[in-house]
Amino acid sequence: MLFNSIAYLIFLPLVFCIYWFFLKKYLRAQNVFLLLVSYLFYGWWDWRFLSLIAFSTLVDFSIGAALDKQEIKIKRKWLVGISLIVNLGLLGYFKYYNFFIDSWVDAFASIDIAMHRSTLQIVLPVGISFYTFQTLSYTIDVYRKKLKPTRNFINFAAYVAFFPQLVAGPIERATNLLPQFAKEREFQEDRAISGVNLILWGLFQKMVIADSCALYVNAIFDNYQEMNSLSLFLGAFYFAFQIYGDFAGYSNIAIGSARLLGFDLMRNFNYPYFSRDVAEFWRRWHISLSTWFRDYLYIPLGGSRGARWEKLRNVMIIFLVSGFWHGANWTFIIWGALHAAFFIPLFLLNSNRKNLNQVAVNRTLPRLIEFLQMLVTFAMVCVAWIFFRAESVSMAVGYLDKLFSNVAFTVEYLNIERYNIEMLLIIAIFIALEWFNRTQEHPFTGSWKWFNISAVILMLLTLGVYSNHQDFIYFQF
Amino acid sequence: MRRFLRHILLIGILIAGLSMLLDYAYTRAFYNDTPRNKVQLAAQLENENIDFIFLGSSRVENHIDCDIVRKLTGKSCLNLGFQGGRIKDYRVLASILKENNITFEKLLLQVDYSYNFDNYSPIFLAQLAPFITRDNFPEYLKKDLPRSFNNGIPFLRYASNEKMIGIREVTSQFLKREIAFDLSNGFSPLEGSGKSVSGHFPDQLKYPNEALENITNLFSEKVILFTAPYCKIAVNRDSFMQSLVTMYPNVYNFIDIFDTQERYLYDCGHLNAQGAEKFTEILTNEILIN
Repeated sequence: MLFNSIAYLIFLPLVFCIYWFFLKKYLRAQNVFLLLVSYLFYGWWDWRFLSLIAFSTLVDFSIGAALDKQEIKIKRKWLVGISLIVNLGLLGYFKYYNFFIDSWVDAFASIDIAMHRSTLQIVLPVGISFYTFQTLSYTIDVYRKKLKPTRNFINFAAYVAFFPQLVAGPIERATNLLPQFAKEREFQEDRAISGVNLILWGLFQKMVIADSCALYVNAIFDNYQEMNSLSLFLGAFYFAFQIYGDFAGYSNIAIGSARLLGFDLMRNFNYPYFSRDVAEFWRRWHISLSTWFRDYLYIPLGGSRGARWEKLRNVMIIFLVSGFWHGANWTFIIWGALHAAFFIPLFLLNSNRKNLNQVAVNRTLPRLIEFLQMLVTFAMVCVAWIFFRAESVSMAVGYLDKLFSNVAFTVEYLNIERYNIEMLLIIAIFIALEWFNRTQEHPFTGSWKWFNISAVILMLLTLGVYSNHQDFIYFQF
Repeated sequence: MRRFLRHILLIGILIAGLSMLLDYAYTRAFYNDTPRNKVQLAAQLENENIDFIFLGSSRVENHIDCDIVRKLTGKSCLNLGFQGGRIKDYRVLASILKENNITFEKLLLQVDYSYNFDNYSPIFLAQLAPFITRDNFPEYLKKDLPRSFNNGIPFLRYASNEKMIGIREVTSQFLKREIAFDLSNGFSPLEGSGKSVSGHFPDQLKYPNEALENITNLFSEKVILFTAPYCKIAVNRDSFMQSLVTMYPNVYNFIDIFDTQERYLYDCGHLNAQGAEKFTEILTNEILIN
C-alpha cells in the first residue's frame, strides 16, 4: 500500500478511528490491532513475504529472550552471531546473491576463465533492508545490555512491523520505539496536528517535487548519450530533488502517520541541501541510517580512535557499506566511495564537526561564504547522485564525460509535455519554503501557517503528478 | 480532540473549496476560449450545418484534407479525426454533435485496425473532461465513462488526467497559444516518408462493436464507413479486412489502394502529405461525388 494512494487515504483514517475511538483504553488490543493492520499494509504488496517478517521477528524475539537468560560471554556472542547470520543471510540472499555471482563470474572472465553464471530470479521483498536493520538493532542492544529484552511477543512483533516505517524507515532503534509499545498512549492534539501537517508536507514533497522531477530525470538519463551539458546538468540537479523529495516525503508521511497513533519516530531529514560541507550533509541526510551505521558499525570498529590509518579505514568502511546497503550494484559502492572521498579531507583537517548548527541562524539570508559552501557541497552531492541514479558504472562515467565534453547551453527537447522553466520554478518555490522554515520540521507553523497550507494544497492539486505516479525510490532498498 | 478535528475540517474545507474553484476555472477556460483540440471544437459548435463530417483516428486527421473536399464538392467539410481515436470516442463525439444541433449530410467514419478496441482513448477522455457536466451531455454516455468522471468529486477528472489537460493546457488556453494546424480544417499533414514501422492487425474481428452499432442506429443512412490505406506488410491486414467487409458489406475499403505506391506512405499506418492529398481525392470522388 503506497502512502500516496487512495487505499492509504482510506486505510489511515480507518485505523486512526478504530485505534482511538474503540481501543483507546486497551493497550494490548491497540498493539494487536497495530500488528494486524501492519501485516495487512505489508501484505497489500505481496503477502508471501509476510512469512519473512514473521520469521525474522520470531528469531530475534527468541534470541533476545535467550540473551536475557545467558550470562556466559561466549554463548552470548554465539546468540547474537546467530541473529546476525539469519538477518544478514536473508538480506544477502534476497538482495545480493545475484550481485556476488555476477561479480565473481565477471572477475574470472577478466582473466579469461569462463564460469557458469547461475543467477536466480529473486524477487526483492519490499523494505527488507529496513526491517532487517531494525530487528538487528534489537538483538545487538540486548547483547550490549543497553536494552532489557521484551517478554511481550505482540509488542515486539508490532515494533518490527509497525506500518508507518516498515518499508522505508526511518530505521527505528528498539531503544526508542519498543518502549513506546509498552506505554499507554495518550492522544495529544498538538502532536496529532503536527502529524497531519507532516503528512501534507510529505505528500507535497513526493507528488509535486519528486514525481515531477522524475519525468525530467527519466527522459534525460534514458537518453543521456544524445544530451548536451546543460541538459545533463539539469538531469543531475533534478535527480537531487527527486530523491530528496521522494525519500524525505516518505519519511515525513511515516513520522506523521506514527504521530497520529501516538508514536514518536526519529527525524530522518533535516534540510540536507543547506549543508555547508559533506560531513554536515551526512548529519542531515537519512539520519536514521547514518546513525545506525555509526552506532553499530563505526564505533565498534574503533570509530575515531586509534591510529590515523585505522580512522581512515573506519570512515572508508562505513561509507562503502552504506553505499552497498542501498543496492547490489557497483554504482552504489562508488557513490559511497565518492562520499568517503569528499568526507576524508574534512576528517583529516579535523573540521568534520565544524558546522553543527543550522546555517544562518537568526538571519534571513546566508553570508556569501556560507552560500558558496552550500553550493559546492550540493554540487559534490550531485556528482555522486549521478552514480546513484545510473544503471551501471559505465553509464555514470559516460554521463559525466558528456557533461563536461558536450558543452552547449540550450536545453534539449525532452518529449514529456513539460517546460524546464516550470520545474525550475517549482524547485525555487520549494527551496524558498524550506529555507524560511529551516528551523522547523515543516513550513506549516507561525503566522504564515494557513497561507502555506493553502499554497501547498493548491500546488498539490494543480502540479501534483497523478497520472504518471512513481513508486517510492527507497522501496527497492 | 476538538482542535484536531477543527484542523482536519479546515484542511478538508480547503481541499474541497480549492477543488471546486479549480474545477470551475478549468471548465470555463475550455468552454469558452478558442478551441485547441477537436473535442473542444465539436463541443463548441452549435446550430450549424456541415455537409461532411469525418470521424476517426490519426488516420483521418493526417489523411483527409477538407480543403480538397470543399474544392471538389463545393460543400462544407470538417475533419474531427484525432490521434489514437477509438470507436467509443466517435460515439460520444457524434452524440455531442447531435445534442448541439449540428446537421450534416454524411458522417464518414473510419473503421479498420481499431475496430476491436472497446474502450475510450486516454487523450479523448482527458479532452472530454470539461464537457461532461453540461446539461445536454447524454446521461447514458456519462454512465459509461470511468469512475473519476462520474463520482461527482470536483476536479478529480482534471487531476486524474493532469498530464493531458492539467495546468499547462489551461495556461496555454489562457495565453491563446497556437496549435500546430488549422482546426477549422482539422487536417494535419505528415511531411516526408520512410519511417519503417510495421503494423499489426488483430487476429480476429470482435463482432459486434456496440459503439459502432449505436452510431449507425443514431444516424442510420447518413453514416458511411470507410477504411484508410495501410501498408501491405502489416500483419493480418487482409484477413482482418476480409472479416470486416463480410460483417459490414457497405464499408468503403481503401486499405490496399497504395500497395504499389509506397511513395505515398509516411509509415505503415499513415500517409504523407502527398498520399493524403491523393487519398482525399480518391475518397471524395468515390463516396461523396459518385
